Amino acid sequence: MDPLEPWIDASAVRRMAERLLADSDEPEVNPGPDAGFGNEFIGFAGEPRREPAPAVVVAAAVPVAVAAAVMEPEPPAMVFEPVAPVLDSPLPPMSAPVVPEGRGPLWERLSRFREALIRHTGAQGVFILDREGKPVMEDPAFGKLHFLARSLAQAYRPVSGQSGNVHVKIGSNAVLEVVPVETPFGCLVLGAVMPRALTAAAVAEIAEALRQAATPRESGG
Amino acid sequence: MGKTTVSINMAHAFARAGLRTLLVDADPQGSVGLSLTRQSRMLSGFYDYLADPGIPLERLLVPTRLETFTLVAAGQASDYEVGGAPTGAHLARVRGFLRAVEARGFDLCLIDTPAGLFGLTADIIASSDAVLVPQQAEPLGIRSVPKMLEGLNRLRVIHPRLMVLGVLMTMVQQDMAESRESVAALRQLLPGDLVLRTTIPRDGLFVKASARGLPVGVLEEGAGALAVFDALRAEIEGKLERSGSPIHPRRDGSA
Repeated sequence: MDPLEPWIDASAVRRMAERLLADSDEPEVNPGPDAGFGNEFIGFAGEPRREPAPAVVVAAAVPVAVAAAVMEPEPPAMVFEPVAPVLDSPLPPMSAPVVPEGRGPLWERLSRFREALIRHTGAQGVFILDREGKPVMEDPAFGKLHFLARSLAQAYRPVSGQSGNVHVKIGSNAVLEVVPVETPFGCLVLGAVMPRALTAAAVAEIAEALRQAATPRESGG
Repeated sequence: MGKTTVSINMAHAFARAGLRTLLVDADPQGSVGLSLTRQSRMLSGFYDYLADPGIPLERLLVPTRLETFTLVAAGQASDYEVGGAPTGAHLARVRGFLRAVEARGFDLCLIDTPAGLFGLTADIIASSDAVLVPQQAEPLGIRSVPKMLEGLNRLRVIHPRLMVLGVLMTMVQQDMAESRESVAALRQLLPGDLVLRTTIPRDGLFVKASARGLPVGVLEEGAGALAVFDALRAEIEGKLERSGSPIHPRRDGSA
């Protein structure tokens, strides 16, 4: 009996495996010194050819394989899941939240967007990052997911003109939805912890709502 | 017998071949240190280095009877301070550690990481040249391979030059059909370069060796196991050489 056939999509696995073996032409993610992970973060491993990037020694300057990590896969913590409907009705008009001192109209609009999203999707947490992974709107309970959301967003290549998203299962009843959205404010990455994955239509609607929330109002609001 | 046994014996094989080899126990549960040194829980180790910038690498190095083989234990901080940290939290310290290892003159640093592809393990892989995936030759374990591939592909997004040495089949039992079929199925499923030709058999010798705190290759009856890990070493050296990152003994180091 084939021990794998009933369990594994062989062609999908083969594609993933071949991607791993291919030389990557992709540039290193975030060539800048700050990816939004705090002062300790010094960049990713590929940068080391730059002086004085400390990892030069690890990846390039050493004429040997300095580090060969040995690791073992653990039971799946994250699974790409098929989409399922979540959003049953359009997002309604948003009520005005209390704006903390020092926060501007953008924060106010994003805050309204977040509240509406939570109300109508049952999201357990919502955060918004900028393209460098810095939090524009944090959710302290899910701070550890910022890095993952940013990595997924940067790996994702949307089809031109379409809304898109990536989602990964992060718990028995939790899916992290990552929706990169081009806005006048720049690329924003929405991360939302949902009870289940969103449909494509829901993603498009949410992306549009975020785009509108990030668009400056002519009246200044 | 899984990744810890592979780590110990593979590091031993490289050290026997004359490479100044540092084996780092970054998996407190796997316990390279517990396998090889009785006092390892008393030693400062890798996790202490991550938690305390004031600790020099020199204080962590545990020499062995083989001059070219040195260990770093997991350390005292492994149980609480570092565990569960988010990915990226320890990247700077991991890199600092590897810079210190390089400066100390080691030819190869082999790190036995905690299972999974997040948190500290992701930081270590994102700082490494290559990754090897030991996988037990049994159907249930092999079904997790797609998840492992997904995880490695995610890490390759942030570290495109990471070399995936491949999956190493361990605990292979030629006398058991399910074990043989698992090996055959994985070889059929994955590209040839992603499954190492060398396989590690299930062998009671590994239990005996860990009971005595030794790599299996140094046991009197361990010649067969020695040959297996020498073959693994040669295969990995070949892969690294073909990738343009060959391992050569350095002449200027002090390790």
